[in-house]
Amino acid sequence: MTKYGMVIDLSRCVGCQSCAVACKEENNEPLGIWWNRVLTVGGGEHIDVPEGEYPDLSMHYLPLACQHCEDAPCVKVCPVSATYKRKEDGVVLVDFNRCIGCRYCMAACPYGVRNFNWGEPVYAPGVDFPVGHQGDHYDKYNPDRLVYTPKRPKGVVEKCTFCVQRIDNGEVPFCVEVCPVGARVFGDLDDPNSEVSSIIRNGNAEQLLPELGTNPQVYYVPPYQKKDIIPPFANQSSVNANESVIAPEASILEQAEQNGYVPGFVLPEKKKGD
Amino acid sequence: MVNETGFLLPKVSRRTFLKLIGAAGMATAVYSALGSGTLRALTQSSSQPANPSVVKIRTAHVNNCDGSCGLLATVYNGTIIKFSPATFNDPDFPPRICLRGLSQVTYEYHADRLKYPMVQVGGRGSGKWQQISWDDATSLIAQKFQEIAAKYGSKAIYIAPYTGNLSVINGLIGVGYRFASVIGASAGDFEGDNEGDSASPAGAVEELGAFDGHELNDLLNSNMIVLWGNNLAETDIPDMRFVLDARDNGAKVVYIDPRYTPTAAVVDLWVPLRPGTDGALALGMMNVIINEGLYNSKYVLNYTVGPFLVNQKNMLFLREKEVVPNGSGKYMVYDTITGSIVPFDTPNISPALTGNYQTNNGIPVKTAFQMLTELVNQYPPSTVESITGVPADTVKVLAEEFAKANPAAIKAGFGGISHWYYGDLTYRALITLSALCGYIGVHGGGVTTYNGALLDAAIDLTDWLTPDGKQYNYIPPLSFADEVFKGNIKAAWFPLDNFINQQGDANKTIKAIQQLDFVVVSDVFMTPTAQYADVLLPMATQYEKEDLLLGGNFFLQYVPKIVEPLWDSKSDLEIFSMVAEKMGYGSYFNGTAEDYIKLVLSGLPSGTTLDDIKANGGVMRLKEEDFATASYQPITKPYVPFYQQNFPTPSGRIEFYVESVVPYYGTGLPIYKEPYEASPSNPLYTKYPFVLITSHTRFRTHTQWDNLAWLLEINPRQFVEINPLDAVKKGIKDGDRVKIYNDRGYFETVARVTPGVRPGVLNVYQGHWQDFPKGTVNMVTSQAINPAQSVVYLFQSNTPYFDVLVDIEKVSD
Amino acid sequence: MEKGVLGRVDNKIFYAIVAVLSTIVIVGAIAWALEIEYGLILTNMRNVVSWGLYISTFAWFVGVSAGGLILSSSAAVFKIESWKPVSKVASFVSAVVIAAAALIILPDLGRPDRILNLIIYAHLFSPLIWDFSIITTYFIISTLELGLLISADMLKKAGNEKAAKKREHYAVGLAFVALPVAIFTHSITAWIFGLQIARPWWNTALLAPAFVASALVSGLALVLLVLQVNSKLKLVELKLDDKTKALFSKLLLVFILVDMYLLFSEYLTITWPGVPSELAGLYTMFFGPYWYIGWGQWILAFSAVAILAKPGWRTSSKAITAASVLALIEVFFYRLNLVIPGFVHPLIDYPPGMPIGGGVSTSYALSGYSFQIIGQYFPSPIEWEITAGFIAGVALVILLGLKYLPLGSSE
Repeated sequence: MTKYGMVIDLSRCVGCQSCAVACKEENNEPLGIWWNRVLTVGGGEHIDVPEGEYPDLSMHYLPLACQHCEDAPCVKVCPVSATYKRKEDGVVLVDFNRCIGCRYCMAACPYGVRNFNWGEPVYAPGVDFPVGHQGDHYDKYNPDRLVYTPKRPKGVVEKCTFCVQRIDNGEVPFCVEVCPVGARVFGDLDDPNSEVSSIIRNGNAEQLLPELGTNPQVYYVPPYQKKDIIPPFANQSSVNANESVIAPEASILEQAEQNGYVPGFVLPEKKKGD
Repeated sequence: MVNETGFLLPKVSRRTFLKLIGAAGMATAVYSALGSGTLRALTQSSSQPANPSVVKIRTAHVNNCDGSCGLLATVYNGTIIKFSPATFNDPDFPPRICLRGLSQVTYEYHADRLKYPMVQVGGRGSGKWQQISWDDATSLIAQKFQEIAAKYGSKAIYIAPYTGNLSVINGLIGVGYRFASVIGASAGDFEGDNEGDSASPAGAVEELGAFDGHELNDLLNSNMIVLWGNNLAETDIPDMRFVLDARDNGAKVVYIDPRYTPTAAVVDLWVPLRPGTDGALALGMMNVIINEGLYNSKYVLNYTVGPFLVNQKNMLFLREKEVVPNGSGKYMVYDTITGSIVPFDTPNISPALTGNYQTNNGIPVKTAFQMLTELVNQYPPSTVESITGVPADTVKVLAEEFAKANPAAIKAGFGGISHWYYGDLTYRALITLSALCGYIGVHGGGVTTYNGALLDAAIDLTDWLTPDGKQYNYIPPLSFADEVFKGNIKAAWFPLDNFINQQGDANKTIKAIQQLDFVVVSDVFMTPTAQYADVLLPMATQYEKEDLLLGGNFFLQYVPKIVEPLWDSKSDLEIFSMVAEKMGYGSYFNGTAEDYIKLVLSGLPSGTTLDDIKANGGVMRLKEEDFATASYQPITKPYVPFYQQNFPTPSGRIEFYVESVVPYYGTGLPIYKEPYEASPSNPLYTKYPFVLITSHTRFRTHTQWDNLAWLLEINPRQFVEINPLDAVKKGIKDGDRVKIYNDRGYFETVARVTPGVRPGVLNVYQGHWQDFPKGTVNMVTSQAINPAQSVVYLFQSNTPYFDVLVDIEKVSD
Repeated sequence: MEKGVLGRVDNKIFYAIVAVLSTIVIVGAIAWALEIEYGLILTNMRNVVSWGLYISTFAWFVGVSAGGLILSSSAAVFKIESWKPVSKVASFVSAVVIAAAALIILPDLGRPDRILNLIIYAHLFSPLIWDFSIITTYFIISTLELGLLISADMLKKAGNEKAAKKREHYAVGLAFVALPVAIFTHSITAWIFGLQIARPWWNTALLAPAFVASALVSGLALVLLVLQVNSKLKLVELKLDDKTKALFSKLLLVFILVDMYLLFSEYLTITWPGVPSELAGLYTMFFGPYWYIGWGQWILAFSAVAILAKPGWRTSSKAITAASVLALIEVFFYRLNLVIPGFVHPLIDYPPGMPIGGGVSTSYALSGYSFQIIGQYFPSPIEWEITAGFIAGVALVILLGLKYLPLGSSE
């Protein structure tokens, strides 16, 4: 049996958001819907903001989409089995024709990766045609299930499908293809020779929220462990970077004169180009 | 399976089931009450037209980004519906793309695209436009240009193509210059001064003889990589892959930047420092390397001007003729064997690397290396610590690691190094550091800011840009405003050049533009520059016009016309041709884009033609003989400049002592100077105590992509990064509206309080134009030109975007 | 005192109330029509807080309804004769409210046109299907119970004692089924929430008992309120002695105290260890944007307790009305306090947060609202209108039923 899985290398992810935008393009996601997003694990409420105090800072990124859990809570709660896990390769899919929009699966998903079409979809201004994959796609193994359509119906749930319309044709998910730094690997977890299997076997990959028992098929290589080049900043520099430099630093000019070199600034009157 | 089939009526389809109960009016009444969604659901099937045409066409992204990605456009029934990464047909160069390339569909079909030519009837900036025909528009331009040429001379017309498009026909080295040459107008340059990107090149030309760079997959050969002022993970994402591969192979990666950025998150060591003090850090590292004897003395002796003697009276190299009557202009060295001063190419000598000497006729001299040593001795780690904020221990270890890495590469950023008044000196310090260790011209070493075919392809632009010997009058963009004020420029044309938004000192620029008699802008959107046009022309996007890209990698990439220009837009070639025709110069514009691409390629030594490139899938790696540097060095793969140590400098060696700048700096050494404006030693600092840097975001390429929906969803607004300590002192909270100002002007934005920016420093990502003029960062930057750069023909001026002092205050709503 | 099916009562107040309620119902219907046309984008629910007022009201309705039937079946099962007079009213109220509960799901569905999928493709493992099944069963039982009681009455009136006794016998038998069904109805409704590991605020075994306890509170409160309204408007004659009335009040007090005890146990279990992901819900409830609902629930509960604690007040109609209203609102707040804080802090809450969902306007999506780290939700006018429509509808049907159906105590 195939069991599709993904390994995302957080030691390489630089939070560029290319995979999020790729998914958006491939799957014609309306404004407000992001199947795949790249989170900043740092401090504060904005992307790219590290945690700590300058200069003792740290940050890493976390791309997050459907984990295609082995024991998926969303599959368990769907009252009409519109969300289902196909046994042939373990991909969790939503049938656009069957979903009644009760959003129970959204309440059940611990990762918050499901999106809802609250109203008629709205797209980028001027783009009044579907982008990405054209045409509907039915589940290769269950052909009565509409698992992708660029024309989103309002009132149904949607989420990452591992690009079912691509993997059913032997391609990899689009996010894997585009990652500019090569942080994503996709493959068969049941195949011991696949790259994903060997990374996981090396003990170097973890799942998100493992204590919940969902057993995701998406694994993460932990953030980068730095090589020791110099000892950590044990002593602060004499120009205290941790203090706001609002008061003028006369000391710099003094030291410059002491050391016998000419400081760089030229008196305003003599500057050229003013 | 229970999961997947109906439980009550497993074999009955929905249609049948509904038929069963459909007889009862109740069902239909219920369904109609609930809306027609059911019928839609029932009849929903593949709404695909029969036999759609689907083609995949390879193109390249011509925007001003070092990535120069190959894009594969999927065209479905005549509409581009997807962009994906395209192959380069090269196993060492994987396909590449980023969030901007992936958003191009939202650009190509953007609702806000300019649709037809317009004249601004209410005066510049009024926003009152009237549509006119192309015929009328081009006639008007031709007429106005002719009037101005008759009254003031044709040089009073300024054509300013720029980096909106890096390609050969419609872009940076394109038809705008041809037009300017043909009609005898003035034109700017394309060497980056209007971006702050010419200080580093100036320094490189001074010290190495050329501005060139290693092919970036050469980083895989490095044992240590220093990303110096280069937020590579955000500004050139695909090339970060090579850094990460090297890192995972054991290379140590160091990143020097006042900010903690995405790059800092994935490297081994982030070295924060005071903005603009990178030169001092480099000198400090050289101090350690020289004093601990870690430098490659043999290399310095043989390939740099280290042993050359410098006349201490005039600070120029000692020449033979100064000590020997009727002597040559040869450089002189001190031969330790004979104890005499002799020409450097004297056989069987052992030149001294250090020392103070005197010529027979009493001229005190020192070796250049001696002078360098004395310079760096003023920068012991403790001094460097007080200047830069980098702890002395770090300076020491960094230097030792760098010297021992063998080799170590420096990948420098345009922003962090070149956007400063003294960027030339800083870049030279980096080169000197690398040279001391013998890393120039070796695989895995070097100092690289930019690389690729744009720098190195041996194309001959003479016939394309200056046909029949006609040559435009060169006025660097940084001199534009002053030339207007002097009355030398009366009209301007900005093709895909968001000049007003991006030039330093926006107020000065606007003032200059307002003094012009006539302004033409051709663009894709109503940018701030477009808002000041008298005539505004809709420009076709790169996907609508045929072109060729020589970009930030060594591949010639064909840029085909994928779809017809939307609305009534036209390509640059077409627009300039139309105007030229009406001005009587049509004979110079009779060719198609293909003709001119072939003209440009015709100079290639290998004889590669456009058809060859097309036959190879639209992409072809530059052949060895087609490198401009092939004339003086072997070409390797990955490409390494100065391979085998051939330097096109006056001395043929690495000139860490540059004679040509002595009149400006009093010395030829890569001294350290405090930033021109953004220094605490500047009296202005008491009034404006913040350094404002304006770095490059991944959500835009300069001003392009500022209005793309998908990118705006993640990055909706401009903001200023301010450290929490400063925010507290200024009473500013995250999300507050703030005003940033100095004597040149002001702009408003929203505060983002983050510990990732150094205290005393503010960062605003440049390129945002949608909030013009209140949100334009260049209201506070300057147009200060460093006269020392005038010695480099190609890179005479540089906008010091980062060299800015400001203050910030909260704006009450 | 006139009564029942064919009697006419000149009661201006009654018709005035009917008119007001009908207006609200009509407004709600229009709102619902708009919602069907434009979709749930007219609500303020978005991806982060994806259930709101409708589901809270649904859970409230189920609880209110369960209480009614528990009351009437207890009368039969435990042979409490003094309660029997209110059995019909209780069953009727129960049936009406559970119908409303089932129906209020419809405005919450993205695709109400596909409602039949619940039958065609029912997924037996899903708590929603359990709830759907048990609510249907419950509705049938309530209606059947009511029907049996009414027909028993009518047969008695017609003189057919034997048939009437048979009907009563069936009614008692049904009551034995109804009681566990009623308890399970609200337990299953609780399990919809309580089984979800993604929502620590919901994920407690105490949720089902707490729901049952609050069902008893709200159900009894509604019956008491209906009785008060009934006697004020003189619609149906119910022979209830003071002792029973006092007992009901005492029961209400006990139910509230039990409910408070269960909730207290829950809060202690969260705060004492202080696990952040679990504290988030409690924190949101008491100190988040709707802190007034959080504290309000307890203020209302304590107020109701204070009123009912005074023995002298337990038979005062003013006190009973006040306590019932307070109890009903308190349980409504409880449902809100459960549903919404469960969504406000997703387990993974790093910036930029969760996307907001499709259907938002372009300008909204592009001005920085496309993502939310913490859920923001306050019901939109459409949600208020539809919910008010349902509540008014329930009140309307109950009033009309009291007036026109033979719900009085049998002679």
